[in-house]
Amino acid sequence: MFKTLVLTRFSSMFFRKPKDGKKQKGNTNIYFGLIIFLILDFGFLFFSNYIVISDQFCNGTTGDGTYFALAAFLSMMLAFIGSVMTTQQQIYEAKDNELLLSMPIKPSMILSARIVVLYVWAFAFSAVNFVPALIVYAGKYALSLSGWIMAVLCLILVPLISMTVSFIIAWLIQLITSRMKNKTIFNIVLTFALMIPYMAFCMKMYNIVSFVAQRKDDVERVFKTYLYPFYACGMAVSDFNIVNFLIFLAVTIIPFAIAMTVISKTFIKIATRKKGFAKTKYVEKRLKVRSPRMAVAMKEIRHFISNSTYALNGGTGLVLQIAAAIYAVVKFSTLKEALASAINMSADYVAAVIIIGIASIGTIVEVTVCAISLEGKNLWILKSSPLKTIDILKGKLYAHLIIALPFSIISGIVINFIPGISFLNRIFAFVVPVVLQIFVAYFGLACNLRFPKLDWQNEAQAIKQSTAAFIAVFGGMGMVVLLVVLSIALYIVIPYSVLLLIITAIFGLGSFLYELYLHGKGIKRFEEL
Amino acid sequence: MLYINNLTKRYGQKVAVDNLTLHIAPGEIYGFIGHNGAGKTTTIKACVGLHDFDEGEITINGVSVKKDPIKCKSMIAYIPDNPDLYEFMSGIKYLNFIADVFKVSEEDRNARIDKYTELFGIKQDLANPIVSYSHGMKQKLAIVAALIHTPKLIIMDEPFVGLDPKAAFEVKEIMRNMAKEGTAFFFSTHVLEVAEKLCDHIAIIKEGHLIIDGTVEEVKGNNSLEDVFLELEGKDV
Repeated sequence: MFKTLVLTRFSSMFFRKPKDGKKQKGNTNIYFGLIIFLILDFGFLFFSNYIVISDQFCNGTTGDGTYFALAAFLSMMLAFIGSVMTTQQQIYEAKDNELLLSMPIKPSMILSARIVVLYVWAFAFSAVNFVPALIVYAGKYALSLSGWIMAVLCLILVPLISMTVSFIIAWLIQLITSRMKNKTIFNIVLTFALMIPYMAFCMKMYNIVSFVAQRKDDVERVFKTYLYPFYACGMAVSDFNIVNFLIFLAVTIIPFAIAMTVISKTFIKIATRKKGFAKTKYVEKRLKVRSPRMAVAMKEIRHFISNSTYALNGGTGLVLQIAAAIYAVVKFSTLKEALASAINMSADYVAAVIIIGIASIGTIVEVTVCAISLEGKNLWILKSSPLKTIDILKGKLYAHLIIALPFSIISGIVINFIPGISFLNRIFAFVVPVVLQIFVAYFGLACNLRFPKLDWQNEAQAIKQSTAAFIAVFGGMGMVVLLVVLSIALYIVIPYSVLLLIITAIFGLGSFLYELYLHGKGIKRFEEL
Repeated sequence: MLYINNLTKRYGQKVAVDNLTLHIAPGEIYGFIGHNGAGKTTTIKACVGLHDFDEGEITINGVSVKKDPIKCKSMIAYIPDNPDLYEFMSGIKYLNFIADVFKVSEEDRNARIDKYTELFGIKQDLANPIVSYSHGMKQKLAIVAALIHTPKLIIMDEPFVGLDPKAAFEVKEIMRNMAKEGTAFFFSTHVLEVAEKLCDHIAIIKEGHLIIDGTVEEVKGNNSLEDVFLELEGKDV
């Protein structure tokens, strides 16, 4: 039974059971291919950071514990950020909680199955950081067999700390939000509170790594004074110090056991608590009449703003787009001088590259990419209504554009504040982000039509863990890099005006082709769902 | 109103509905009875355009479901067995959305929402999100949504599941009154007593085959519907 529960949870997180019951090997391969790509991508990033840090922190003899302490601490932080929201959704908000609790299965077994899945999740985040640290160290100084054993044990234990913290936070979130009428705002604020330091860390990673690498003594003092368990972990790996290992073991296991005990004792109560809402008495108001297509669009927008996971996942790119535009205005002269001195790029071309870069941030906006998957069990409503399939698809497309285009336009307005910007760049500051966003809306919808996930247990699975979402995220990130690199590379070949025209034409044509797809194969695919 | 002619639906090798023929006239209340997996829901979903079918023809008021599904859907209302509704919406937003989709005028939607939500006792809850509704309230909301465009044919899959006795009574009353005005009802049920008292016609389906159909009197004769059903269920198809 335990194995079945674990496998069910994994399959609900990663797989879609097709309607005809046939396995879709291709989709699974794409999904796992993307996960491996992500792991390698981040692994390489951490690998290069640890090369810099190890130069300053390690000498290959005893006393390299601070290096491993830092690796363990960062692994714990990464696992925590990556798993805290998943913990809350998987334990307290899973739709099958009541079903499973009504079956002759011990609650402890249900909880344990979920914890195993969460452990694997947290372990993956943790390992992406810790394994490169080990490889760098072993490659430079060779790690003894005892060192490897300790390292593996510590790697196994580190996720337990992040899970303990995640459990406590998830438990508190559930207690606070279980009787809240509008959880969305609370969850958005919370997620931003987690995301902002993380994003700041990512953006300033190089500076932070350089700063940390030059201050080994300070870092060591901080770990010894305030984060001793991690220091003990580091010393256990570098010096094979059994006492330190036992300290780390105690610090990981005991709080985890306490957290587990508390959660198992309150699991049924919290998981089955009636979702309380502050009741509002209906007061008759004039009802707004809309066309069917706009009615679908408004339904989609309402869904987007009512679900914090959807709003955050789909809307972060919008906020980033405006933030990047403001940053570009402030830092334009620095960027211009840097590119001018490096490759003799003109100010107009620099502005064009900035426009393309900011527009391409819009490619990580995800609204349409899960709009079909989110229909889930409600798909019958649209399919039994007298709506043309194209109206349904266009309604979803409109929702994306209504949400995203104001941000594209605002970013264009902000870019217009760049001093000395040419008239052509002023116009394209609006045109390129808008055209690119239209393309993103079409691309997301086509992705979701190709890879729908309708059998989710909670909406986060459709939003974040579907093949379509992975393709859109990586496609978007890849697009940002590709467009900026290509724009810079083409500097010698074409003038900035031609570059902007080509980008606009490519994505305009892409949107046109997707429009044709929607009217043909897109309609057919939706009707087959 | 609803013509199902030689309907056949297969899932791979399995024949879910085999050469089924039913005719439902305007103003008729037609009960569709069968054990679990007999093919009732498959037939219903084929009628409302949720499932494609392999052979046969379904027409609503003379319009083919395959050839002009939109026109057919605009004439009917469908109430599924499990009212999965948009939980992120409030009751009133959901009803307004359905009214938009069916192009109901502002005046009509206001009047009908007011009438039916009052009747089912859910009017005061319309501002609350559907996620906060009980199963019965969702079922009532689904029924109100189905009535909002005054359909000519209402197709229901186990419509009385989850309803409290008062609401079940109200639904039956609405069905009788609307039937008098010409609306046809085609619904599946396990509650034989309801079928016996409410329906004009009954069809019993087993393993995708139609076993018997006719008026309630024709089907049951001098026996109870329960006896007839159990006897027919025991026979080989």
